[in-house]
Amino acid sequence: MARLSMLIDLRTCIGCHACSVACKAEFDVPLGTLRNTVKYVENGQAPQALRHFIPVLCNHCEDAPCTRVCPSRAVIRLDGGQVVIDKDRCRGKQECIEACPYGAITLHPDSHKAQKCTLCVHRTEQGQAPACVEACPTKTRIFGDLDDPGSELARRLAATPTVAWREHDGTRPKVRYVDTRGALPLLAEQTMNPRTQKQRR
Amino acid sequence: MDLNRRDLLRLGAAAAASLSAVGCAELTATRRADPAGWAGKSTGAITRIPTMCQSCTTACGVLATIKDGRLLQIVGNPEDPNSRGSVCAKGVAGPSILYDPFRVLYPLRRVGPRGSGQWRRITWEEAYAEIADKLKDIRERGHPEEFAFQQGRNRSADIINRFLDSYGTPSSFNHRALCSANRRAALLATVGDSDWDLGDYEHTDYILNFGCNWTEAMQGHIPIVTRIMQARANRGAKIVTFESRLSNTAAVSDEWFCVKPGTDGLIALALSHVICTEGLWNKAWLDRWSNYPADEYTRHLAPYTPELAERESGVPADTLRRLAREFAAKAPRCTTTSGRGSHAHYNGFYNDRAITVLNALVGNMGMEGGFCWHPLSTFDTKKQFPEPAPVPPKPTAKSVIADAKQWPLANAWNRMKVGEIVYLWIKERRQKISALMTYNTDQAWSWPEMQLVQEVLKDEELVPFHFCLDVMMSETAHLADLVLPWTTWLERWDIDARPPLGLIDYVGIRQPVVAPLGESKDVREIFPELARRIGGGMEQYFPWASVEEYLEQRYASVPGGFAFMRQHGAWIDPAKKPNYQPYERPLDAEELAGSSTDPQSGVITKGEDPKTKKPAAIGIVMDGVAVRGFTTPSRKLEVKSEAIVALGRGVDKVIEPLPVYLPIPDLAQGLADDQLIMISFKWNVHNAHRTMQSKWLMEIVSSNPAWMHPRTAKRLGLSQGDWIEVTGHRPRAGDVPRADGSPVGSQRTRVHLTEGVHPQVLAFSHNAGRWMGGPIAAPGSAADAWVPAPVGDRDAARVPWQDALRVPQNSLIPIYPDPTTGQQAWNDTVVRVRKA
Ligand code: SF4
Ligand code: SF4
Repeated sequence: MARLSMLIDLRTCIGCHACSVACKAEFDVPLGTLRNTVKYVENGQAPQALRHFIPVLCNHCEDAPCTRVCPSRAVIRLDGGQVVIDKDRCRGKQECIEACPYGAITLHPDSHKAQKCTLCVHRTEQGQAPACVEACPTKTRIFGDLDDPGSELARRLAATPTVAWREHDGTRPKVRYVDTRGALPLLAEQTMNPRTQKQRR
Repeated sequence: MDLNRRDLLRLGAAAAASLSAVGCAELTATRRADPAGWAGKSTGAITRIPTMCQSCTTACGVLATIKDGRLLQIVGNPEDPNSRGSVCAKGVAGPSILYDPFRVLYPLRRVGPRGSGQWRRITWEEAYAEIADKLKDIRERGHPEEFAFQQGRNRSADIINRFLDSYGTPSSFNHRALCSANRRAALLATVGDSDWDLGDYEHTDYILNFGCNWTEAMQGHIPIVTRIMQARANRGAKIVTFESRLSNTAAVSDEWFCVKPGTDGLIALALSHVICTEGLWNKAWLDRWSNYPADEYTRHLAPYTPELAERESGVPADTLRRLAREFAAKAPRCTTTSGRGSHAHYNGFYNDRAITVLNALVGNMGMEGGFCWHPLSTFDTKKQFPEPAPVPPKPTAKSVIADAKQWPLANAWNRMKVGEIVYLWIKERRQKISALMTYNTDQAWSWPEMQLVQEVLKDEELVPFHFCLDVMMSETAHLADLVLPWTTWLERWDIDARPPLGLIDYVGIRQPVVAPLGESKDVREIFPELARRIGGGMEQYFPWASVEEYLEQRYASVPGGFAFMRQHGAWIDPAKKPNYQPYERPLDAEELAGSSTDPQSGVITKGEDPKTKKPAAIGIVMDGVAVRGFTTPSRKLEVKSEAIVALGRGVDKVIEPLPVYLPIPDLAQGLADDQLIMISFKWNVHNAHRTMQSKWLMEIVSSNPAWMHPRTAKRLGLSQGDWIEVTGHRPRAGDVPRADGSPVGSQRTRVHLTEGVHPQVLAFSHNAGRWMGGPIAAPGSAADAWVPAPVGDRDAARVPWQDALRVPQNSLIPIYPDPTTGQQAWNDTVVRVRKA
């Protein structure tokens, strides 16, 4: 079993959204729902005002609350450690949507099933990088296996201090960031998708 | 606990399930046979077709992923030497542009009054017949100049010029003055060789950025930013930005200085002042290559102290001293970038002159890691990829508008023209227009004083016949008599290339990756057909049977020809070297044969310049060696330009020979409490009106509130999100048409309070405010009658940004040309703001 993950080096992110749009194209993610996006946060006062770009996606947490709450047991973990929704089992109960502290899961408006980032398992198992990684013009996103010490991901992680988004929540998020300007804390309690109220049918 | 948990995960579903009883288990699964729930689109039986993006004018090489005849995805083409496999969101959004549910896919003829939005679908045969009839009549009356052609930034100049030249009309109106005329003119006057500097960003250690937003926009966008980020990662390159707004480029810079608009040139002069007075210059280089003595330039710079620059721009004098020293210390591996922040001003030409000369002072010109350029702005159209014969001669008829004389630098080197005055001059009846074709632009929305453009387009006396080729119902198409469905960049052909960041020219191809949707067509098909129908000799210039046949001829010199291009997307001659220090290249015996040398200046001439009818300069003798030099009149880097002075004198204008700071007259008069300087900007996910058709890009940015500094808001009694009314004014002073201070227009919008904008500035993005084109581009609008029912895209019915602010900012901005080049001063509008 591997621990597939991503390293995002905020020093070279230009906030261009190529990653977000690549995800939209890859999965035809419906308008109004996001699996992957880039947050813009500002802090400081002129002349030292700053803007930070923080790409966000499902953290594929190692202690993932979404996997524990589904009455249909549709939120599952694959061999690579990816947390995915089993579309066949999902009955649209939305417990997982509520449970994710990052707002990374949304209800697909057409299928009425939960949808989220799969770390592009369909691509990675064929040796391709996730669509957002392939799209990034500045090579800000590094995909790899945390358990493979020879991977670029592991080497970069060993060489540079990294942090995760809301590490203190205890879900053990796997997406790591190089964050030299202290941007991640500014995301505070923001979520990827505005927290959706349950709309039980 | 952690370890146990991980171990449990590894045990798989059985172990996890047994824990579910205690409410903390997660389910694991191995990969199932049926991946339907997880699979995205880009795997399986796909093909990848290379082409070139045209969501902006950078034309990155891309690969289109096709499955079952449908475009699924756009990624970068690693074989493109300029973009090297990188693209931005606008390129990745290709499928949403191609499959825009609100595209116009059939020719339409208006049936109600112009602008009433009543259309009838017609056939191409009907459209061709009507257009050819009108154009034939105009041409046969002997007034080809009455057919005007309005284009945006396009990449099909070869076929367009062929059509217009063979028709004989000089009334070809473009957008250059709305874009980059000042920067181009500054380079042409100073360096000569090129109108587009290409810093050697990949190898640089230091970048001084004057209002250039290369993370978001800019010709060269992705090829530039990827190299700069590479220099940062690999060499620790430092980036310093002067900009009146916290653009994303300012945001990624190591230091950002929020400057008052229009002071970039003064900052460059103050930096130059420090470099010269402290002797941080490269004196040997200046002595050899500057046409103006270094000591005299130092004297010229005396008034431009860091203290003056601090007072005008807001950047502390000590900081300017430090930056000048840092910049000079990194020479020659240092360079500048400049963009609309520096040059889209009343004083923009001088600003970019000062910035260019700042580079010369430290001797980074043409050096590795320094300020470089390439003589070709596209592929080699002259020697390597010549136009197939017969090539039509240039028109002999005259266009008063295209040749507008009162901006002496507009057409001095290239025919840049003064785009923003076109509709004013049509209104003033300075030139008769009998037919207008709009192609790939939306002047009714994107031109300054857009109300005036609309008024002229609506007037059937001023513009008796107007046909528009575009992919969507644009604001301009809405004011046409015929709307022709254009192909997107994913359905058309071009031979193309852009100024090469690698400093070696190359050639690329744009090819259809799917068959054109509906009945959409490109000019490469339309123009030959029209030429045949108009006749009168025009048809002889379009002898090829198909676009493919034409391109086969054009790519003949590529090893493997057209077929290679279709397979790889780009080709670069491996024998060519980067264009470093082109001025030092010795002339060979063949070049020197039959030349003569002026004993005083050392300038070597040979033959006659076809334009000026004077002896053509080919180089200069330096220390006894004949070298190429700069392609300026003196064959040196022209710190002082007598040529621009003479051009000005020709139309009774005073143009300064040296870089100077020209205060913007209206701003120098001071601002009242409720007055701000409006600046305009672009978002990274948008380019022109076209990108607003993309649902994925609009989902990211669809709104344009007015950016305001919190201090200013406090003074005006405003809080975040408050409604304001903004009124734009014409300038009150300066050498500008109608400089009477009168209002241009008013708009209501909300304020967005941010530290990321200068306290005297109100910043509006250009990427919102359309009212035609369907509910994706124009939030809140209904799909018009011309739109076929949105099929195949369920997103069309759930556009979440229906309440977005949409402020057509060009209704506030006056026609405001720089007096030298005619470049539109986008960033100098004085606006009044009041709570609404
Ligand atoms: S594509 Fe890369 S550079 Fe662009 S926003 Fe995403 S992570 Fe940042
Ligand atoms: S920079 Fe321009 S040409 Fe390149 S991918 Fe983006 S939109 Fe396309």
